[in-house]
Amino acid sequence: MIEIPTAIGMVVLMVIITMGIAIFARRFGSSAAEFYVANRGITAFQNAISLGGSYMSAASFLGVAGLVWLYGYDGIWYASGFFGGYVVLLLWIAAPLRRFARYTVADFAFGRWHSKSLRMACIVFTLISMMFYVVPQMVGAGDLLGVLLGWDYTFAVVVSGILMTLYVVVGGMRGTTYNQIFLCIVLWSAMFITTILALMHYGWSYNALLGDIGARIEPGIWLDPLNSFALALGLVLGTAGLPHILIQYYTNPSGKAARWATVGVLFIIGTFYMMTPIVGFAGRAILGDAAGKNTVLPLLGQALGGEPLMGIIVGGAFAAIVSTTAALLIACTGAIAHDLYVGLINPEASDRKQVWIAKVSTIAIGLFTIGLGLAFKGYNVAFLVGLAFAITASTFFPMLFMGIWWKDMTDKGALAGLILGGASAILIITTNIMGMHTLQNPSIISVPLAFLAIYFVSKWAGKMPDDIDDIMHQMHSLHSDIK
Amino acid sequence: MSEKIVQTSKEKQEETSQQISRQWKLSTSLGIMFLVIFMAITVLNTFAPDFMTFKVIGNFTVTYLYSVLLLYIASWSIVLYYVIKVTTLEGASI
Repeated sequence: MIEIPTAIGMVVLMVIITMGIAIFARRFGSSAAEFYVANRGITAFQNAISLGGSYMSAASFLGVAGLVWLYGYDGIWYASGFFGGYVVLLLWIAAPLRRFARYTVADFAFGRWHSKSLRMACIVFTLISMMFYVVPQMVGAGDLLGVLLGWDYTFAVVVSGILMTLYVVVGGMRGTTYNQIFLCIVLWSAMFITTILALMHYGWSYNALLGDIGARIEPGIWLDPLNSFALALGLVLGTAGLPHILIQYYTNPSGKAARWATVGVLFIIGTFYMMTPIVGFAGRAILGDAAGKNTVLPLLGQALGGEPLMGIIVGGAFAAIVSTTAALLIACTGAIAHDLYVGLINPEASDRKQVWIAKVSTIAIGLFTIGLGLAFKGYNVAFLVGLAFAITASTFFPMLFMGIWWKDMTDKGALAGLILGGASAILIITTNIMGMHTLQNPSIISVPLAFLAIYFVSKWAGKMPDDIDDIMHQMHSLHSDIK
Repeated sequence: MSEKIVQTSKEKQEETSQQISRQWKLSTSLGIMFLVIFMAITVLNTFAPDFMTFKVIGNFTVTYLYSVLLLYIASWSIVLYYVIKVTTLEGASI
């Protein structure tokens, strides 16, 4: 256990700054559009950094370096997969998604096919995937803050849960976005400083550092070819279907801005992931087995930069957890308050009531999340994260991809794709955990199944919306950048 | 948010179809290029391990330079080319 006053001080400083940012964001208004999509007023530059902050979860900030420390080259594959998802998003989804000008993924599905049952299915899969994503963040917060700060597990989960709920309730999407911008700068800088110190330790010779780690630079320590391929596909397509990432595209003022935001985030996370192998390998070379999968970065920071760097990294790790969880919370709130309540229960709700319901939902989901975090103590978090990516890769990505580019896709085709893709992904992962086969990531089976279901069911049943030409025009035309 | 979608004319529908077709060709050709570059790492690691573990400079193997340097540089080049090209393409259709 590491109990360093500087680290605790950095965490307190992070809390003060981020709460200040959330309070500052209140001055921009309190409409539903402001709460969910910041009035579509986030610039491409801001959105790029914010997406980077949202994406640099504890898994990216601590986990990738930890995997490189543990498995060598194979750990790098995670970084490549996380990165590649944004290329797919840019090429096929970002601009049309923004131009369709909705609030959530379920909102997109309803606008595209006008089907309430499809909207309901999207709400269910949004909540399932986001819960599988949010629980490991909470479990990670409890474990990590226990190791790094000496906090009790329950205390760490409750503090993290309350903070992320407050960020969203107080600041809405704009406050969360501004916080993510700040946190992205902190996380990237912490990784950069650690990388520089690691290289300085080896007299600026990365070659000498690699010489110290021996065969770990070669592939195959962890993943066999099939699982390596399946993991890459799952991470790339899963990223392109993550609701908490997709909704942030709606905050851009135009489709063009959405594209530039994606280019920006690719440079931010690309440079970030280029540094993680250096840190992971340095952790192996300098600390040996003394480091841990999630603690190699802070321990290396302590070894190379003393208490100040250790403090920045611990503060950054805490920030990473809260930042990502706040984004997940907004996605869940959108699914319940906007899609379920306004979309299906009370479409005539006033703007004021919509915001009120959104805030009450946020608090309820926040409390529920804390409960889940406590209930899943000691659970295998990698399993849950894998399930989240597998579900989004097998449900939302095929629906969005086909819905944006294939005019003839029907509501029943979309529903069949969602259900078959999601169910097969869950089945394959569950049977893998039960030891019935060795395929860790289901994407190479569940994603093609979802695409096939969409194609054949659309050919056989359901109908295209009457206004399909207008919908396609809106998604693909430069003139369609509406608020 | 405006829920209302303005009704398009037949000519506009035709123009939209052409626009989608042009965007699709650009996105898909670059997307396939990216996925080939990306997935080639696993394929080459499996079928050409001697080549991939060959040390190019010092302790830097082909697979390492490919995964940590070439993949990122190639991806950035592809996305920059895409954004510039699609902006021109959309501008030309106005």
